[in-house]
Amino acid sequence: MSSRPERVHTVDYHTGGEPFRIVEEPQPALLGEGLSVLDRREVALHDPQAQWLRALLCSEPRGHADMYGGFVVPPDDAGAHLGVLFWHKDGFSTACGHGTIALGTWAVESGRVPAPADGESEVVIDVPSGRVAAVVRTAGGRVVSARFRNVASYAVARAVTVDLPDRSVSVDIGYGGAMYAVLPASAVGLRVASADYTALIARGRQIRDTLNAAGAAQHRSDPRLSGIYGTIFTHDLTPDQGSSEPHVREAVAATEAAGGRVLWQRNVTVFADGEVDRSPCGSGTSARVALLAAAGELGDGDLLVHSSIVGSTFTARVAGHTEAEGAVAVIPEVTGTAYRVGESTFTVDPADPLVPGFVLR
Amino acid sequence: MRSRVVYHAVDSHTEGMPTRVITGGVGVLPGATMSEKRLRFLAERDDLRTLLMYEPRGHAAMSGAILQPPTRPDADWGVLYIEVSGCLPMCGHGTIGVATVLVETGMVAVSEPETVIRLDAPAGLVTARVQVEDGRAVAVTLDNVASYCHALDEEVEVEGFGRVRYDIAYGGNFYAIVRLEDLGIPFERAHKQRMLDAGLAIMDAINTERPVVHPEHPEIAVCHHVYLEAPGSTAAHSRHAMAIHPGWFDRSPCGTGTSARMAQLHARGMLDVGADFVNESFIGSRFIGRIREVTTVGGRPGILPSVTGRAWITGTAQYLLDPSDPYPAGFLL
Repeated sequence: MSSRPERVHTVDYHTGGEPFRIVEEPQPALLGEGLSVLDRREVALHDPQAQWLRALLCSEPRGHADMYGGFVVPPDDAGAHLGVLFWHKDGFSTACGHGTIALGTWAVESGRVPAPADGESEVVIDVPSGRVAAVVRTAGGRVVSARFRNVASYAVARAVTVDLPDRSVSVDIGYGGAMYAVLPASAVGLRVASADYTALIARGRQIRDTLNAAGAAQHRSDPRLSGIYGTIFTHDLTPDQGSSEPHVREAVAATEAAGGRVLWQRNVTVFADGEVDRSPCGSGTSARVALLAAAGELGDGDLLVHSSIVGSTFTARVAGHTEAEGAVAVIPEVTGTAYRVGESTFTVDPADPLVPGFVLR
Repeated sequence: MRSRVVYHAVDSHTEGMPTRVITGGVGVLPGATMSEKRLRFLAERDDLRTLLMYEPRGHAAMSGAILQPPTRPDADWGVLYIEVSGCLPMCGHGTIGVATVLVETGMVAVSEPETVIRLDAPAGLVTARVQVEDGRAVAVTLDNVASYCHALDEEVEVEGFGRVRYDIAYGGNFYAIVRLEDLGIPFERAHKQRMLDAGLAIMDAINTERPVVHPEHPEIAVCHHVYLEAPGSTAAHSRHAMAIHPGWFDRSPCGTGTSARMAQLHARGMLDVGADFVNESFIGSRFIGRIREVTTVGGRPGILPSVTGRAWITGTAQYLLDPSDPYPAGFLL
């Protein structure tokens, strides 16, 4: 991005309530030959224009503190349909499940990846943490859901004591493309509900910062993936509190028909510098699957119904077993829905003093 | 692409505060006057407001306006203000945003150096004088409704903050004006949550213990805005954070809040007719207010204020709704 673009076109989706703003136009500084998507993320991190464009699209007045999106970039090789650099108000993330669901839906709805009127199509996406495939289900010519198999996910640590100013809590740490600290909301006297929104943000930041200050989450082989990215607060639900979305009803019925067990949970993920995921969080759900599988609570054939703070739902299951970084790992599969909410062409008035924008939470 | 609706918008911001101007896709709303349209819209089409203001298309501090054909012959455009919490009868920053969009997209006949736009708003006719240079709207001045100081040196018991002293003034809405020094909260971003908590608790206490009623418009009887005055503020230049129900800060210096602040300063004998008053928002953006003349409001001393501010277009958009979307009216956390 040698010069700032005069206008930027975006297609905006939401996945389970979480925004995903797609920039399809190529950004010249991110197009270098022979680079992997992880390399391109490093380029973006050090490119002032890429950072400026990210800030423009997720700061007010064009965005807001919880905006999320991605730049479409070339994939690592011809084995993928596209690459993507995920971003939010604080920087460029390494993995993003809700974004993967939105990108798969967008690739099919926009015709970028051909799909049958009824059936399944695979959209292969290179993201900084690896290659993921979004399997997009269509029925009657419409996208009805999208699922992805995430990178190998595993339990990093169990029952890690975190000393907060007023109490000590015990968290599990899981990796699902990014590192998450997981604990019941009740452990800090909160509920996964809008009424506790502000308190959840404060606690999430506190737990993440405390763990990172102690260096509690080192990725075993790639320091770029180290550090706790988010805090997940969980809350068990009863089946009648769960979702009635069509894709959830179908998955529950299929699991029960095959003799599997269904776990109902609500969660909220507070990530980066206090952003709150409106969706159940794809990579967070993957980390949950890994931790539940490692604890023997989620077996093969079982289903996790994972709802968010706004009541949207992903379903997830163990799709395979593997090893990663010398540890037992699972391949989680997460299913959700994404919907287009608009298209924007952002412009910048040269006289505007508030560029790229501001964040006031 | 399937969508139930396509709403066309020109998005703008007025000194940091968004004004999403809906220029197409809504059609003509029912009602003989803008006031009637506003009431019917709230009763019959509130899902449209929340679709455009709530997440995922908007956010907790979104604001906008739907353009309509005027319902009176002396107006250029009708305007229905929409926000997260409802539909204000009049909105200062929104008017500055609408006037800027109308000039810079050619929706009114533009003349330089000044274009006068008459807006048919639910509160009545609002005149915006737009300073235009080379086709650009560089500043917008609007004459606000008669404003007055309702009471000085009131006190109310506020949970968590003890007895809080405040002045209360009207500038299109009621504003409680409280000194941050009295609350012991520094004027810093790091303390914004405490500031917001204080503002919301104060408006609650006022509405419960010391409710206000406009002397000429008894339907205006609530305080949903608290002007948290920064230390060092004067009658020439005030800084503040404006806490607004149900829980957010105005990004702009707030047009009606600037008017209410001028009415309060005038009642205290600190601001004269014709003097410039610079009102600075929490993010450091500014409006310039001026008292045009004095008047009375329901027999009480009042002022006729004007407010000058700037707005910039940030983009154009089409807002869509997938027929399967489980949030057809958006959601708010």
